Amino acid sequence: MIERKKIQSLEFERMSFGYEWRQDLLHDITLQIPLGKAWHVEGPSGHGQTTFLRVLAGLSTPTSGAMVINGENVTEMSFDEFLPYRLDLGYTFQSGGLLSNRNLAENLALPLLYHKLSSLEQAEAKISAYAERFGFVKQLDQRPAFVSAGLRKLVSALRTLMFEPSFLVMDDPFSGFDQQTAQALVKYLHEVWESGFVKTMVFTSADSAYVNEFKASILRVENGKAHLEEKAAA
Amino acid sequence: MVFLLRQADHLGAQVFDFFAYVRTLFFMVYLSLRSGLFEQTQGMRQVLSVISAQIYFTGWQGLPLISILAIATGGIAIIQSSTQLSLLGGSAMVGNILVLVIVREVGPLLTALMVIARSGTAVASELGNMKVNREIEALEIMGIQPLSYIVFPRLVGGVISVVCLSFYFNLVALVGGFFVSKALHGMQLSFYFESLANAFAVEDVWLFIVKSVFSGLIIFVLGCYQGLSVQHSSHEVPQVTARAVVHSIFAVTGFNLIVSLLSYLNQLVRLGIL
Repeated sequence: MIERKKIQSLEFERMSFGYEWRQDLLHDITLQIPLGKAWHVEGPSGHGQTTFLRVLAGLSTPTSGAMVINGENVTEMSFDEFLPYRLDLGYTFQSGGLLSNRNLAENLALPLLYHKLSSLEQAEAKISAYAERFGFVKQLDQRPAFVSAGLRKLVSALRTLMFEPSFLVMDDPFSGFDQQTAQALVKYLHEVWESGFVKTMVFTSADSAYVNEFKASILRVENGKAHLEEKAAA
Repeated sequence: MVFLLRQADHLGAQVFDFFAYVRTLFFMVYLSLRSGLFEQTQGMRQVLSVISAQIYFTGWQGLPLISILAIATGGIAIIQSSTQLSLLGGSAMVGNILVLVIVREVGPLLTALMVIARSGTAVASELGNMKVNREIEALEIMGIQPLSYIVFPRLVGGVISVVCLSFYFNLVALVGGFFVSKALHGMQLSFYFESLANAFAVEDVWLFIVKSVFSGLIIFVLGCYQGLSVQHSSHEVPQVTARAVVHSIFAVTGFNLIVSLLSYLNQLVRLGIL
């Protein structure tokens, strides 16, 4: 079993990132993200909030500069070298992310079984508990194509949370749900936040009500730059 | 003059691109085998389930089509060859013809073409859609190396399937060939199998294995590479699928041709003709 490395510090050093069609989306960002807080990523649409989250989650590699975790430059690390940090760094997608040829239960169980974090029986018990709590027991054996988009997004988020990452990155996690499911997810996130296994949360959301729920401070991404505004979002 | 220089420049760029492409494919095979065999400290059971699914889809579900192709090919080969040979009084050479045509050449090639049509396309489009739906990124986020969970099992399952299907093709074609021979010429079972046994050489087995293993590898490497090369949207999926098929057909037929040529050159050298 791979031992996860707890994230003690995370910073960017002169980090830039761009796509072929937009080279300077994030430019020369030097920033240390204080841990133990919730951060709401704000900024005008199209200024790279999602891209910032992707770089933060290790899904996109900076084109220059570095991302430094616990004093180690992780930018040049191979997949296996980065894996111990990856297991402590959760990311939920704005959409998609479930394996289409596996049913919901198999999707939820995959990381637990692959990394031998649980036995099959433990994983099944854990998944049943989640399904009962969020009301999708009957859909557990369905493939993602046969359930609603909201349920797909919920299962994708739960799969990340089952990993119990201490650093959680979420891209617009509360949209696309009915009110009841969104509230259930917020309640669960509160629980994991208070239980302490999630220590730092960085997320985007168009709905300020959810931002206030977590008393999130603002991390502004605008014109290729990112900076922290310690005051809580309005 | 300028036109010729431009053409030469264009041709040179294409040659460089081709070698870069081949190098990337070799690198992908190396990384996925290394990742699957040597760095796979966990999740082997999950990887094995993907391998068995690949064998099921490519091997097991391909059996009906291969059976029809094999019976038809075996029948045609035996009808044509036995008719001509009996006119020349060489019926005993039936085994040689079948081994040469079916086991060495047609079996591995037709099987590979059938697998390209069924599974090469399936793998390229499946992986392309997985890329568009962020499933590959989801694996990375879960700490699962896509090369070991996606590519490695498809290569292994694909190669096993192609070898087994080629073997099955040969078996069905040779047995089917016997029944056609029996119906046409009243050929005895013992005579037929004696003719086949006399015709078989160790070299035939090696040729069969080399052709089947590398054809399987070529098909699934190209399918995986093209599927994973999708960048942004679903409109790229049919494009990469078509490219996977075309490249696979060129590569497999070219590889089979080269191996056959080398084998016959070797024979000529051994016979002292070259």
